[in-house]
Amino acid sequence: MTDSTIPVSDSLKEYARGITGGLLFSLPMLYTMELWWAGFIASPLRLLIYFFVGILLLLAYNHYVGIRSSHTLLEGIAETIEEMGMGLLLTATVLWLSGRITTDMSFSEISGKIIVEAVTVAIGISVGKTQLGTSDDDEDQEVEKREPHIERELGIALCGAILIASNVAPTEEIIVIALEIENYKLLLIAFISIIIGGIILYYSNFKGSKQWVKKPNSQTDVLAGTVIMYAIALTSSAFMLWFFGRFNGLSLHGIIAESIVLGFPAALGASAGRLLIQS
Amino acid sequence: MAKEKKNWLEWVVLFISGLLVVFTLGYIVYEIIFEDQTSPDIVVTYGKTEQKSGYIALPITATNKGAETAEDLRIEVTTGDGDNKEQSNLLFNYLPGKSSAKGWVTFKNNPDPSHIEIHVLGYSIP
Repeated sequence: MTDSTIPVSDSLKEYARGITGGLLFSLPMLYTMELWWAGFIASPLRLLIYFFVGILLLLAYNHYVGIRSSHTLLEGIAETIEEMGMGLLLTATVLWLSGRITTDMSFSEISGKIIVEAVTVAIGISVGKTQLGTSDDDEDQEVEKREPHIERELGIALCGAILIASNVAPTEEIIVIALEIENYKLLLIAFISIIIGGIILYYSNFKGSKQWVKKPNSQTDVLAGTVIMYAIALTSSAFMLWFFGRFNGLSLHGIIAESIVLGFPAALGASAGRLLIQS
Repeated sequence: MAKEKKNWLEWVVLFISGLLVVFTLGYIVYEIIFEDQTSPDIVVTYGKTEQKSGYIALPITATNKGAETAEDLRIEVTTGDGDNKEQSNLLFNYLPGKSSAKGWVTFKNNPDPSHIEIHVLGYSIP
């Protein structure tokens, strides 16, 4: 077929949307001091784990939501590499513009700073490419009415949670709130996170909830879905806090309190964020 | 639906991205394998004094030769001896591994270059 190559202008538009998405979701992070510090405080092993988790999340997102409806595994991987590469480049550009990377810094400091931020930027780019465009090809959407199933929902909920919560995860504020809060308020935060998440998924007719949340057959299904959502929120919170060194030397109470405090935005990401980035 | 082929631009972007990702991964793996996570090791050097408005300033460069980051690094500089003794100090919030930071310490009197003593007071590990 002669017309099977994608026009260059289409790719350019796609990249423009990607860059918009990347900036939209992560400019707050790129302007946050704790993230610059995380780049040189984190050990190389942690950086490697974080980078890998980022790539896995992108793979999951591209596989289940990605812009190309008919794609093979290889295309998904290519897409992921492209987005991660663009994420690294975009992060480096913004950090350089804002004077956060300069030539007299060591290479490991520069690379650390870039890697820490690039994961969220790359997820933002991926979401921007798929979600911020007008859908000229609506028939694609119809063709690929993929059934909601558990792996897909888990993967995308994780993306949503990280996308929303990573903006505040490394900040001092999480620690301050967690260490000063009374226990009953902590419990209330957990409760509110669960209720809001449940309402978004099952009650409020949130955009995409009809299509992407499995229809509950009973109260038990609703409860199970909500619990899974909150489990994802807590897990991703704990992972981010661990990565940013927020668990260092903390008691179990502190660790749990921090996870619950960050679990609030993460629960929004795992419910509302998850629906928005795939609608 | 027809399978869409990548155009030249997408290939270029993919190629550059691939290089970046492989390089980044390669670099972290290299650091993990070949670079010891040594604790901070601070070396301080100083330059020539400058007359400012009403005080004398001495430029300081602190270099961390270790791999770990030093937090709240405090450096004390003493000049002269006896009655001419003057002390000044300086705080760096962070000094990442293998990096250096610059600052100034100030004095009332012009210090004798042969009597400048530098003391790294301490730092914490973030």
